[in-house]
Amino acid sequence: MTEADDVLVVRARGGDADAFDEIVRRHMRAAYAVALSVVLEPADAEDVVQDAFISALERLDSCQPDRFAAWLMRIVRNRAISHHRRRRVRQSEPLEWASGVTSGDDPRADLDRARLRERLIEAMEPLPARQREVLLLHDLEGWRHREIGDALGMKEGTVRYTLFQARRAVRERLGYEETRKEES
Amino acid sequence: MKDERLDLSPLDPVRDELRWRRLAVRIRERAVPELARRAGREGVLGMLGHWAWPTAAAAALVALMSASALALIRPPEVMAHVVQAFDLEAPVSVWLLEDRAPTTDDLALALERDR
Repeated sequence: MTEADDVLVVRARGGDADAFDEIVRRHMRAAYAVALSVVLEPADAEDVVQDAFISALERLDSCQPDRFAAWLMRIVRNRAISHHRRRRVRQSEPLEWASGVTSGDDPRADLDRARLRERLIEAMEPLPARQREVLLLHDLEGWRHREIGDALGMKEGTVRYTLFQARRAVRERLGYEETRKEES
Repeated sequence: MKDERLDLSPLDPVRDELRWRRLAVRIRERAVPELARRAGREGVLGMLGHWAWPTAAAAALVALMSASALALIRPPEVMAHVVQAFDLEAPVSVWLLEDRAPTTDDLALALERDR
C-alpha cells in the first residue's frame, strides 16, 4: 500500500531513510519540472533539485505534512531563482544544452534529442516563469489542473488559462521557427 | 481553440534513466548526515521517553496505593496502634484516640498533674 505524503514526512523527520527515499522518488520529477521552468538548463535543474531536497530535509520540521508537495515546490522555485541569478552573473559560462542529458549509447540520437530540447527551451524562454511552470507540470509531469493550483496557490480556472496561453505562445514560436527555416 | 497537450518528451529527464538514477543516488548520499542526525535525536528522545514513562507510572502507582491504604485504614485504629506502640499515657493517649488537638485547659491540667 502506498503511504501518503504526510506519513512519509513524519517518518523522515525521525530519520527514516526509506521514507525519505520514497519522498524523493515521488517528487523528483515535479521538482525537476519546476526547477527547469526557472533555470531553463537541464544540468542546472538537476543541481537545484539536489539542493532543494537537502534543504527540505533540513527544514522538514517546519513543513505542514499534508501540504508537503506545495511546500517542496516553493523551496525548489526559490532555489532555482537564486541559482538562476548566480548563473546570470556568470554569463560567460556557456550553456550546456547538449551535455544536460545524454545516454552515451547513440551519439546521433543524443544530438537529435539535444536539438529538440534546445528548440523547446528556446520556445519557452520568453514566457513568464509561472506559465513555464504550469506548462511543464501539466504537459511534462501530467499533473492535473487542481494539483497545480494547490501547489502554486492558483485557482483551477487560472491554471487552465495560464496553460492555454503558454501552449499558444510555444506553438507560435515553434511555428515561426519552422517558417523561418523553410524560408532560409 | 486549439489547446492540445504539447509534446515535451524531449525534456523528460527520465529518458536518460542512468543519469536520473545517479541524481537520486546523489540526493540520498547527501541526505545521510541529516538523516543520521535526525535518527540520533529521535534515539535520545526515545530513550528519555522510555525512562520517563515507567518512572511516571511507578510514581502514579505508589501514590494510588498510598491513597488506597489511607482510605482503608480508619484514623482511630491507626491512633490506637500508635498509642499502643509508643506506650503513651493519658492525657496524650486520650487526645490521640479522640483525634483532637489539646485545648489550653488540657495542657494546664496535664502540667498541674506532672507537678
